[in-house]
Amino acid sequence: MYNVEYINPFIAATVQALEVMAGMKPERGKPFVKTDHVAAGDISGVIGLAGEAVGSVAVTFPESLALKVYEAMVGEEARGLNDDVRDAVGEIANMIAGGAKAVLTKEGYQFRIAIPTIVVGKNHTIEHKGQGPCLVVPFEVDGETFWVEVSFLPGRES
Amino acid sequence: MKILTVDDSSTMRRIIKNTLNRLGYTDVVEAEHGVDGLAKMAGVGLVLTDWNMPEMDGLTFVKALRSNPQYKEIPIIMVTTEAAKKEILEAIKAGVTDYIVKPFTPDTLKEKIERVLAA
Repeated sequence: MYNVEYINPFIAATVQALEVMAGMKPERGKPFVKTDHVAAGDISGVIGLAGEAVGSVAVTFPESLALKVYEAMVGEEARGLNDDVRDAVGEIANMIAGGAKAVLTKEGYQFRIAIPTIVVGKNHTIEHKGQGPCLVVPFEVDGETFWVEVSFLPGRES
Repeated sequence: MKILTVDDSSTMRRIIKNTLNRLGYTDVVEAEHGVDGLAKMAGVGLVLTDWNMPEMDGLTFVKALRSNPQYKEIPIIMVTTEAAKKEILEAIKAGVTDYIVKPFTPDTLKEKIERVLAA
């Protein structure tokens, strides 16, 4: 059974990152447990979490939404999933991991966040770190869906 | 004033540079990490730096600047996703003048810059 206590800071950080940096207001859907490694989106930003708590977090967007997010963040038009859009998706993943870390650290879960990696392509796969279950939270924004995947095995500071 | 923004994310550098331009700061130099930043310090009056970067992270970069008499007093604002109290205290101990947690609004960036430059 997955304890939702660990997922909530990732959800809050996702909403905050999109609201503050892109002026978007994503609405979360019903979380589900992922049973394979295939991403639902076309581009994913993945960040490893390492320390007493281990795991990884990924944010995955369809191409059209990734372009909208980039344009809203930077104020410049994006053409395809180029290096700039890839970088922006990585930075959003970074903010999600960082925001969640700030909350979870207060609860006694100690971990470091790695530099993001980007995966692009239809039906690309995301290999999460650790042996924990992968919980996926869908978000709706601007008539489209994106997903945040979290695999987190907590370890409390002794 | 010449401002150096150090971040491995080109998106963040662009957002910060655009915001600085709108605030009237047009002399903005970009660096991708601490090593790049150290090479571009000539004439800089304010430093904005990320924490988690390849080659040389922001904390090491700040310590390197503070250990150099030439940059001992220069204002440094850390702009990072590291938001835990422990990290903020570590950055202050290393010598940052102020701290901005990502995500941030242009108003936050403006307020922090004005505060450190007025001090």
